[in-house]
Amino acid sequence: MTEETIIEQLKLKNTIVFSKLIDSYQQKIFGTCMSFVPNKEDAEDLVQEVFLEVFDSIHKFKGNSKLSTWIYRITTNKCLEFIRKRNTKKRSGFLRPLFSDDFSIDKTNYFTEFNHPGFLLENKELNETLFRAINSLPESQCVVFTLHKLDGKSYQEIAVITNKSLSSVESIMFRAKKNLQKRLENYYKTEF
Amino acid sequence: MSNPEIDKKVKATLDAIETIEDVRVSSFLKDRILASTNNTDTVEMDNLWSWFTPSLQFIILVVFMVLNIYTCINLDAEDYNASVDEFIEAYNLVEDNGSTIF
Repeated sequence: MTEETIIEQLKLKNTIVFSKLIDSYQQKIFGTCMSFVPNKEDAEDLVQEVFLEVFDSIHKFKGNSKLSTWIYRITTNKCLEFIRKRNTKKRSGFLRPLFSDDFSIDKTNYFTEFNHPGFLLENKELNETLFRAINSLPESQCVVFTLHKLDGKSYQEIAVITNKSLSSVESIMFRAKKNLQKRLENYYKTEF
Repeated sequence: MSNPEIDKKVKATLDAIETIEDVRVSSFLKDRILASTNNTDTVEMDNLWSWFTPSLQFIILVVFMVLNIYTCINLDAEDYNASVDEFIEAYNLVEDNGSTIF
């Protein structure tokens, strides 16, 4: 079945085609969600939201990009929106100091409760620290770093998903790596 | 702690990315998604009747009852008048306004 036929059938709300789409993409979408959120249940809720959005908004898909790119774009936006909402909820009443680069355990942050089955026991603490550090980066750096390093997407794929040029993605990635290094150094300096 | 130690810790943290294992999606997730698309349809159906609020339902009920009571009263009065006329006619109790020869 060609991509055009799939899109046409989805617009006609064909549940058989939608079911096949879920089969093809659910694991990939779940992988992307697990790269952003460190909790399996939350990631599954996000996958569900992504597919519902695809089903309901397929008529808005103009065909300017591949269907998969559009789906990944929705996934990334849903994950960022979810993290933003959870941080706002957790922060209620506890305003974080402004202009702070500190990502040390902050109870007002979403990244305090981890339920990531992919973390090996011996590296659990390191991975948790890394997730907190990544999510303390500016949003564009967090997205590019997560999609590349955690989700394994190429710079080219990230450029299409984020609607940025390839050189821009490379530059954001460079800054993300530098910032991450700096933040981790600061974190371990205060730890010891 | 000296700088090399911090550097080592930072490197270990960054390298830990490679150790994160893939997580398989739950087998029932697909059914959950498909079920939720059906629920969306129900929600849409519900939205069709969302304007029919309980207060509006109550007002319509009151109007309906008032109309019913009014109709019943009117029907009873007509029935009553009709049966009275019938009775008068049956027993010839109607007042004769015509002149008599006596």
